[in-house]
Amino acid sequence: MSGHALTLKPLLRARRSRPQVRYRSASTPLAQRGHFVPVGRDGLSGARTRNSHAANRARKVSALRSGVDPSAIEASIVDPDRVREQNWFHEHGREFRGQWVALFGDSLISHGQSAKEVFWDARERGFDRALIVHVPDEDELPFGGW
Amino acid sequence: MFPLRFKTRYRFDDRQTGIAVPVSLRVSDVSLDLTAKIDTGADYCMFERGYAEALAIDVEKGELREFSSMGGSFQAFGHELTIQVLDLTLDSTTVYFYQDSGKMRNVLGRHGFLNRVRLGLIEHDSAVYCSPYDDDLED
Repeated sequence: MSGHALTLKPLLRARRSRPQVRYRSASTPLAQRGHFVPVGRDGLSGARTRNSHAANRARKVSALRSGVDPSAIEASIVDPDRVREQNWFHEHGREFRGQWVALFGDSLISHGQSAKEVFWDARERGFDRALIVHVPDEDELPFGGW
Repeated sequence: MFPLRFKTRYRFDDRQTGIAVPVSLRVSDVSLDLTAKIDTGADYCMFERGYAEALAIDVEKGELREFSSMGGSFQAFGHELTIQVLDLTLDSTTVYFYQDSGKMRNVLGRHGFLNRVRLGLIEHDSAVYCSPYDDDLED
């Protein structure tokens, strides 16, 4: 079995210092006249991200022509941990307070006032597995429990 | 010692409040991806109303139920659907959608999630471990 083994013993070990950086820095989508231009990881060029999206689209078109379900292709490139989406949310979520956003990788795919609108807009753009998030009006306070 | 084994490990984002994990809600062949917080204090899985509307679920046709919270009581509608949490697919799960569209806390509670999985948490490492509750413990 290739799973993870966990015993109670590690819980008793002395606390180690947390790593300061756990996530890689996110790329930044910029709003320009209402359109969202992906910016590459280097922060200088969106070419890499655009090329990535173009490649994904090409893979989907190719899949359609060959009779393969394109959503299966998208599913194969989804990061199940959603690290890049969460990085984007952490860095840019405040710019979209009160709105719903659809995120895929480190790109904003759609945003709006309703989940329905944003979810289906993202699907129409070919992103069936975008992460749909409702951005709070204000920063979330620490939760005090039930 | 009480050894446990898990199929999945997930590193959660410790910049967020709570312990949020990726979740998919599936109705027919349409899936909607979101994140929800694991909440041992919640009796059921609760999601924002907007997600039900996006999936064309008629929220009010569900089972109306009242819940208590520290902020007072609230109502939500129960619907049976498939949820996917980490690598686990949980069919025929009753989840609740808030009646009030202003409620924004998505939680995975005891019925429908915690009672169907084996769960490990090491907060120090921001790590959640998960397997089906009846998964084989042997190698």
